[in-house]
Amino acid sequence: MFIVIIGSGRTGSLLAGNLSRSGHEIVVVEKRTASFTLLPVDFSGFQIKGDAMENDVLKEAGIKSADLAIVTTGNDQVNYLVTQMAKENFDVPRILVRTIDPAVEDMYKNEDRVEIFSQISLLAENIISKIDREGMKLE
Amino acid sequence: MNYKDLLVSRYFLIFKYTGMIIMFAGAAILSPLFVLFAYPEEANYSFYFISAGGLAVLTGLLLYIYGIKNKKEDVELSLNEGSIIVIFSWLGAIVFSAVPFVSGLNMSWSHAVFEVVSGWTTTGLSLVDVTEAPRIFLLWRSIMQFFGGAGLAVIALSYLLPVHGMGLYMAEARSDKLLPHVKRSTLMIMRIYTFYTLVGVFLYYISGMGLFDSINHSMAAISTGGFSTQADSIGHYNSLSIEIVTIILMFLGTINFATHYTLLKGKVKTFFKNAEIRFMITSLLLLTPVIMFFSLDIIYPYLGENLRQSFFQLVTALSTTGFSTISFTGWPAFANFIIILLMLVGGGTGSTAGGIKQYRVYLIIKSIYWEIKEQFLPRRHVSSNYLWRGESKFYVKSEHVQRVANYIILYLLTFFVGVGIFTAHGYTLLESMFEFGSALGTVGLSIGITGLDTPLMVIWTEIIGMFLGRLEFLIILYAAIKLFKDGIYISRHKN
Repeated sequence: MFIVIIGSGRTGSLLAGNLSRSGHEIVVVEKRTASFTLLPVDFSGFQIKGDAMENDVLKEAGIKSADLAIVTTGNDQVNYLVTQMAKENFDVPRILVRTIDPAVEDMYKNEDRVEIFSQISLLAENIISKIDREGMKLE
Repeated sequence: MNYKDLLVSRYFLIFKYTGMIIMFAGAAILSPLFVLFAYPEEANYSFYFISAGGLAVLTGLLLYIYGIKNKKEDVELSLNEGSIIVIFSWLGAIVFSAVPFVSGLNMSWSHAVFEVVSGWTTTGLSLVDVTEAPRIFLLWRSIMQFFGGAGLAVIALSYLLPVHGMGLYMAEARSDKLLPHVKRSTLMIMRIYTFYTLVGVFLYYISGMGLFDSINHSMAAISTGGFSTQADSIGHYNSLSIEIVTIILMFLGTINFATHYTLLKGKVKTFFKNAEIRFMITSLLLLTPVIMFFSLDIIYPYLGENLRQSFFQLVTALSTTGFSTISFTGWPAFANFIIILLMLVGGGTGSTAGGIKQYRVYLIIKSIYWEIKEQFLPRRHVSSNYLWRGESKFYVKSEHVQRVANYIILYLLTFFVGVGIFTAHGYTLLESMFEFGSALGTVGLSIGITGLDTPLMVIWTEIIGMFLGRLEFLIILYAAIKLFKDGIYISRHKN
């Protein structure tokens, strides 16, 4: 599968390394050169340096032919804009987005082809399910 | 797990992968046996190939079995570890490939190693008498060039090894990615390469060459190798159409696979923007008339003949192939000097060719231009210098220029050392520069020095030159230093 990953921070680079190792074709887009160093040694995809909010940068990353886009920058506004660009301008069939503030989850509510992963909601759910499983009772 | 255990487990992995590649080399040694279907009378030579191939497969298997004793999870290879695998795979392939020449053709080990190094590094200097050698040996020489042109690491990455990292790929002097995954990239390289070779066989065949010769010459041309099945190389046929086909194939062989991929995708404009393509076209357009009218018009009085001979020899030198249609011994010094220059420049990076590489020379010329330009710009100007590489602009940083300049200096130093050794044996400066430049650039043109009665010292200088030229120096140093350091560390921490 051809996957474009926007943002190569801790999340993006971890994803890029694991997906590359399992044989997917990966292109990573990142603004800061220093962040590319987070990519593991066995990452063998392309690295595109540039601001993903620019149309030309996304074009250079070949997002037009991507089967999947993963948007994982550390900024909700950027994530939302890039998701819209990938969806509307480049017609990416499937987009996975990371959200940080749980409040922005509503923004993605009626978007088809887009799926969100909210790190704080996931964390909260995990903790709550842990509490439920171990049957901790309120005194 | 402490550092020593980590190191040891990595060496087990190196054993395993090297074993697998050597097993592949063994299979390659067995492949010339296919010639027996067409020429069953050569069956008495098959024993030499079966024994050499079997020996290689057995050695590879032993290394592999020793390597998988370590049950640890597979780790990724760094460039240094990739270098070790590449060097030992190449050495293994060379030693086992030489066995049939020693046992079957009664060559000495030095001469046999020379022949196979010339094959695997796609040089094309030869000590085998092609008029008398059995066809099975001729085919084996071409097959070595075919696989050597692609490179053992590329073949290993595309089909054999479960490796996803760039270390092994970069260890064989390649860095271009065609697709955003190293495995897909190498598979694509193998496809393009095999496709061109098949096209070459077809083109030669319809130009009137026999099928056996077509197969051999096509493999030798696309790999920019230059082993021929005829004593006079391509000149034997004296046919314009065969020469044109050869020129086309040599061009295809000398162009970077990433650039080929751009062309195959239909991006013709980007193709002609590419730094190496521009450099190649300019230098050939410039130098062909220069040697035609300033040097060779004495030997070839007719314009058509002059153009045909000059252009062919220039392309064979620049592409580092080494097919020839004439003998260089009778050429004037100036023409031979131009040929030496082109042999030093060589082909494209990430292609099957050798030499300093057009990209590096182009970059250095450009950076001289940039330096002069900046001198006359306003004091507070900001500029970003770029050139076209693959499909995109590449912004050149000064560290990159430094690396390239270091490489060129290292290359030229080695060249001078080699030329020194040659002249010490009594050859003229021109002969020495021509022959060693040809070996170091893995070209294979000869001015007549290399032969069965050449001193062994000179033969070994050429062997080392070819090996260094193909694997691009530094990785050999990296591998040696890494082995040395790790050896000391492991022996100091015995328990």
